[in-house]
Amino acid sequence: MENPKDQKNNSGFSSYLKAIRTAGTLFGSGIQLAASVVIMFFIGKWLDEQFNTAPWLMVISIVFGVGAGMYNFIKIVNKLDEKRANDKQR
Amino acid sequence: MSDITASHTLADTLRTVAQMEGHGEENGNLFTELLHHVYDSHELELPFVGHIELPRFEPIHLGNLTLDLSITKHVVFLWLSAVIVLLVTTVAARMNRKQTVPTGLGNLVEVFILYIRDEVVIPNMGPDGVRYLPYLLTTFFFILIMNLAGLVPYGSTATGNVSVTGGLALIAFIMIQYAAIRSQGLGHYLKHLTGGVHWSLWLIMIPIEILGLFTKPFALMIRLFANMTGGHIVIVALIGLIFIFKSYVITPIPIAFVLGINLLELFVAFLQAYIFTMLTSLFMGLGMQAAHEEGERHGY
Repeated sequence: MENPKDQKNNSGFSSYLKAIRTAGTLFGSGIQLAASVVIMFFIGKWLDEQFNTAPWLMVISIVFGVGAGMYNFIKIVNKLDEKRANDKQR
Repeated sequence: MSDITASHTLADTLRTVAQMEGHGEENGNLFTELLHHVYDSHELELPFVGHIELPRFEPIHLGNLTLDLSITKHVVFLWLSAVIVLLVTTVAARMNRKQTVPTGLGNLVEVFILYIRDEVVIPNMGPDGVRYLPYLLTTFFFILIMNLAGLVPYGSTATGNVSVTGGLALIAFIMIQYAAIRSQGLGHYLKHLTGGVHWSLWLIMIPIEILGLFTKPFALMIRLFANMTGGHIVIVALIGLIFIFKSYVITPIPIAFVLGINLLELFVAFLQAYIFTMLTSLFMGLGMQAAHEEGERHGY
């Protein structure tokens, strides 16, 4: 298998795709941040219906969702940073 | 930026439709009829034949769940895309086996395969990732063909249905966990779920980490669905302008815009298939990378 880095061409389109690859997770992390809030909202709403405690469990789950979303967001950014540092060293 | 203008166009069009509702009923009806082309339906439109009613099955009850397993337009195009992918890749593989220098269809498919392998899988997952290449390639070609099917006249985009993208995301979720467990071992995988904190914080940490596992495929599902549906709705909104203004003079402008958006859609079809594949491989790679880190830290 040839090393793909040997045959790198810097034409406009391939550098654009490279940019997408680099920014790829950041496309996702915004939606992930929102997704954890939305998922926790529905879980909280469902739990409220089960235990008849509206709206408290929903509020708690949303706060939890915001916190978890932030935590996971920061975690993935840190991981990408690490990965980029590793790639540079090589 | 295009998203902002797109949503504005849609909002303006809908507002105009709402205003026209009082004046002439047929305008609103025409618009809703056009909008039906975006959504799933029980009818199939074919050239020369007209409408075909697709079979409807009685809903199946499983406990509290009610499953409607009728064959809809999206199901037909899902199957059609699967068949096309199967045919194209089989023919390409046959062609490439016979000749040393690939030509035609075999060459086209090989370009995509090499690109995914060299530019997506190996940078994201390392050489070990080639093991998962067949899954990622299947996802890529399947999503690509489904996206493109919506741009063909009389076609429909199966990825514009949240259930379809949900199914794809579910498979991606399973594969991401499988890759992580396989390369880390179950013990390490479970240890990662604790986030590496003191045991007294596990009660908070474990739900957060588990939620993080689910948000990744959720984001994949929403992105693909929203991109495919959004593009089609913009096209419908622009074509709807012709019927709203009821004038031939205005026609060239929406047609020009629709042409532009259609070309953009063609690009988005490729881009979204690529992004779905790339993000799946990246998430799998992050799970696999964790194993290597752990190894370096312990000095293996």
